[in-house]
Amino acid sequence: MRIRLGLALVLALVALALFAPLLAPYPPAAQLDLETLRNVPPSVAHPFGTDPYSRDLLSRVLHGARLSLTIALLAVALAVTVGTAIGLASGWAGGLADTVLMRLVDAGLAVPKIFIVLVVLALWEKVTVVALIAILGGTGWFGVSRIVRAEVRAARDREYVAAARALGASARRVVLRHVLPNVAAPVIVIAAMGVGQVVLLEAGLAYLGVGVPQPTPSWGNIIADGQHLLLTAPWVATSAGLAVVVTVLAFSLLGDGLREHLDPRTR
Amino acid sequence: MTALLEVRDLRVTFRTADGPARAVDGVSFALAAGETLALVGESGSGKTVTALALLRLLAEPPADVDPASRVLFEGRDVLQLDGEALRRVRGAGMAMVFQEPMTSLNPVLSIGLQITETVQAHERVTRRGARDRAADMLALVGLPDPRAALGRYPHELSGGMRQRVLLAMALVCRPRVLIADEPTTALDVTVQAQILELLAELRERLGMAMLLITHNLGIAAGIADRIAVMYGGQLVETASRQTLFREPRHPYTLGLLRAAPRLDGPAAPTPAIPGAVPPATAWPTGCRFRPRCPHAWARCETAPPLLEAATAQQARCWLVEQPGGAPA
Repeated sequence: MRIRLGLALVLALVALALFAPLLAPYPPAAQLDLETLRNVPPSVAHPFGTDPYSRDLLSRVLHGARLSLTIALLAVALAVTVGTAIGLASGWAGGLADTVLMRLVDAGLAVPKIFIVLVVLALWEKVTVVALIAILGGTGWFGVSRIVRAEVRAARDREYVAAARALGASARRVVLRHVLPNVAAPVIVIAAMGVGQVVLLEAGLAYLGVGVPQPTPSWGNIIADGQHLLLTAPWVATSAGLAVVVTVLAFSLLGDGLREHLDPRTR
Repeated sequence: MTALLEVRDLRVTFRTADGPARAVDGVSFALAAGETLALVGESGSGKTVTALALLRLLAEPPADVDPASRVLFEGRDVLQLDGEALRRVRGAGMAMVFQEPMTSLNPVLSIGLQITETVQAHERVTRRGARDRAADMLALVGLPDPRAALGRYPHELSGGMRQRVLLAMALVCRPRVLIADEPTTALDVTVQAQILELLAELRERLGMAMLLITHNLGIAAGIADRIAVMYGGQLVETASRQTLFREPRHPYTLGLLRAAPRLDGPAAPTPAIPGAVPPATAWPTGCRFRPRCPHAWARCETAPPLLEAATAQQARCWLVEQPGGAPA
């Protein structure tokens, strides 16, 4: 049930993002009329209202979905790839390599992520989308590698791994065929949950002013636009804020549902 | 007859917290083509470690195989092989069937995939060719509807069927030697009998040699040509099946035979061998069976070598030289 709801929401979000140019009533950066259309509350003409620059919020939120979701999906893909590779290597090799890698991961997990991200992003003069993906993905793999490593440690001592080796399977084959599928389930769950987390983090960064630069809309910078107006024009921040909430909820539901679906013990 | 597999002075030590454990301590035997040798012994006697060492499957460390040990398979020392050469021997030259059919199959892969994987590890065949071979093999091990079975997953099969699948996996590349480590222990008694019958039949049809590892003398009696009894990491007696059962020369072998419950006589308590196998970190000095042996005398403080007891029969016991035992 949860998995269906989560999946439906995620698919709807992806569809909205994909078809944003068709669905949005106005260009997202168009300043419609700086004299009369600033901070207009939600109405038929502007269902989400307009922002201080007289831009249509519905259009901005729809277009913001493209950027926010793209960043989140790619960052998670990067984190999962790196985390799985490092976890596999660490768990399979064992010994010194394992110790060194896992202590690095411990160090990475010990420092608050927002702090690392802020420090690294400060090095860029202008934050680009690629930089944002690289840094969000590059700091997101620690937890993944930990879990993958634990699964690999458990799987490498299974009898079927010994049986495969006894019949002449190469180490590479054993890892890819017999060990990797074991880690797939937890990794898929982490990835699904992770997308929501990254959307949230991206919004937080934009709010702090280190996100995607204006006038490109992202949910984070829409919220940032509205932060001074929470009492006078609350719809500005609320529009993108709701989008973030729905997205996080959708991916959490999907992740939770997948966990139940993939784990035979809870079936 | 030249030996297909010859093990010379195999020694495996494990590093443990209690000091080195000499799990296998100077085991030598030979296996000729088409022959079945049963390695019999209690838990902890070193049977399984011996089997794993033959294919270099022990994790090193903690295991440590003595560099002077030799495992000659078709004249080449398996212990000296590396990487690719070793991989090619495993499965195609010598294959192994493990004890636990429940855990020796990967639960997330189909039966067909797991068998074809072995074929593709050793031969250049197409996917379809490998699947045909797998299906043929499943038919040979007596799985009903082999084609359909290829697409099944381990949890859909019973224990006996899984053991058949494991056999098919091990045999699909026609190995010259099959090492079967307690292949029937985890199965019901009736299924045990079927699997043993199948093993004997397959050995015959495929003309391979078999090293059968078991703690059950009854199983050894049913299928082996020769039996080697292990105790304390050493062979204590080897003989042909008939000789071993008719004229055991080592007190341990005799104890094992006596301890087997009989169904054809009056019900009586089975005479057990007193005591237990000592830990491998602390073998007794002299004869390792001495603390549990009813015949032990002064001479047993010196460790006996394997002594020729009769034609093709050897026993590690001074009684072979001095049948009367302790001089009065």
